Amino acid sequence: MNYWMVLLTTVGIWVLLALSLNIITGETGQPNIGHAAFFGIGAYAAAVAGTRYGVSFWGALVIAMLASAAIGGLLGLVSIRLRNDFLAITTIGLNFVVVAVFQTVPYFGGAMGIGGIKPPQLGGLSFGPLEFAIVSWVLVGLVVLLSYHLQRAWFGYALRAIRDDEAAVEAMGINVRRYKVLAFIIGAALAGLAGCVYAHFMTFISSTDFSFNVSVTILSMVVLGGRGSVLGVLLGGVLLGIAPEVFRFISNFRLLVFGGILVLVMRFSPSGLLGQGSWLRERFARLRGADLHGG
Amino acid sequence: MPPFLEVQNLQVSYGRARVVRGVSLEVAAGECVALVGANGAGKTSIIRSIMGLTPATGGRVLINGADVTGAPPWKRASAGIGYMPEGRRIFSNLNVERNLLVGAYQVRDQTRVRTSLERIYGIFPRLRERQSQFGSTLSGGEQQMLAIGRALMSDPRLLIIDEVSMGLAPVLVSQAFQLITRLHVEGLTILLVEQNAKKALQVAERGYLLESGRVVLSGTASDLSGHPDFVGTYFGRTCTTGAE
Repeated sequence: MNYWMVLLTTVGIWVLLALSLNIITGETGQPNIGHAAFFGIGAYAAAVAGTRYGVSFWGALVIAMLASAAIGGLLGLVSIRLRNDFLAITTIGLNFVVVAVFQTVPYFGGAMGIGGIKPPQLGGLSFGPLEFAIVSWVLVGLVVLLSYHLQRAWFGYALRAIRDDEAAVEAMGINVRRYKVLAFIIGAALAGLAGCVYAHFMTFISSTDFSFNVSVTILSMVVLGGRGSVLGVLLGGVLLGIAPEVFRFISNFRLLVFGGILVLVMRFSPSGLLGQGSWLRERFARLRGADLHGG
Repeated sequence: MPPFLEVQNLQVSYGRARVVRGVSLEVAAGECVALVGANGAGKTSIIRSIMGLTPATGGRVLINGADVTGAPPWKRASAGIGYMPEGRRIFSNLNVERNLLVGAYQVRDQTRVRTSLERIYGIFPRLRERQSQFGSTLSGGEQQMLAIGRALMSDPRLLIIDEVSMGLAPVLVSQAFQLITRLHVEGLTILLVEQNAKKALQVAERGYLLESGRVVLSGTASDLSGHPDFVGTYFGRTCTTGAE
């Protein structure tokens, strides 16, 4: 029972991360190959708040989101003039810098990491695997709702239009910079949320938990599921989230497998499993008798 | 009263290549003005610079008397300019209706947005039929309708149309120019950028003829159409081309 609850929580955290990256990369088209940095900032902010200042899990959720959002906004502002390829490199750089800071600054526990993070309490009950599984999937549900809401609001239209043609969007009177920075802020804040859940769930974190490999895994989930498709990214997160368990016998080659999946998806189905124009999505649309419809 | 759009001595360069060399033009409220010239004359560079999408290396752009030369594109659009870019550039990841709604971004009043939407569907019934289709699935003519409709959604004071006839079948070109005439008759100010000079000057009241990034002729549409230089440019004389 506990094993399944732990797996459910882990997959939930991955899905949260994939959905958060989807807002930056999937919806707005801004390449972010260092998303684990925001995950780590959220986790460390929550861990420091909890262990040093006695902040509860619920308070740490807010602090983690704010910390990640602040760095996300800063990165968005700094890199707003960068071309996509340079932005991708900048995000990789941020990931390495963040990991290095966590690894070397004593305030963040240095190479020893931060331990002793207390599990959340609710009405005198200390969270166990079941409660964590429930909380993580309730958060997934809320982020899915938020993602769908964004897609159906002006904000979401603007983000998607930016992904298609920035110049044309700007000529419609839309301040593209503001929207790109906002997308970074929202995506980073949600990654920070996942980080807070992770820190309290693991009770111990270290810098290597947020390495570049983690960023590649999150990106793989978004690409596999289909950039911009909430359901697709959720599916990508679940599939690659449980993949380490299924492919445990090749755990040393996990990155190779993920890399291979990325290459195959980009070659044979650039829209991923459920992205716009993907084979599966077209099949579903035909079955529903609503070919080519969408939004 | 100043003209709605005034361009003074505009210069645009790409690296060391000067593609617009001191162009001045103006569009008064209620006018339909054509900017014509051969491929590579600098028409699109001028329009992109007016919209702020390509930085000017010299000169000024004034909208309603206000200098917007250093302003970002979205501020210029907010000043009342609707822009249909060359090549349509519709948003392929959004359906038809959402493409139109992005065009109405500046309109905060939802009742006005719905009214604009109904107006566009009235002008282009085909778009209503295709409202839930992705932009990428439309035909060339439908994409052109969508691009014009999107530019009209903000209820602009000036509509800039870049190469409306590009890639369209002759019958669709005629329909597009009929639509431009209708919009102008209804009172819309239009700056028409067109390679098909003959068609453009049939619709416009005034025009500018561009050659190698310079205005070589300007005047009323009828004066321009009958001018020997205009006839020479389009029916015989070889033009010196610049990058556009």
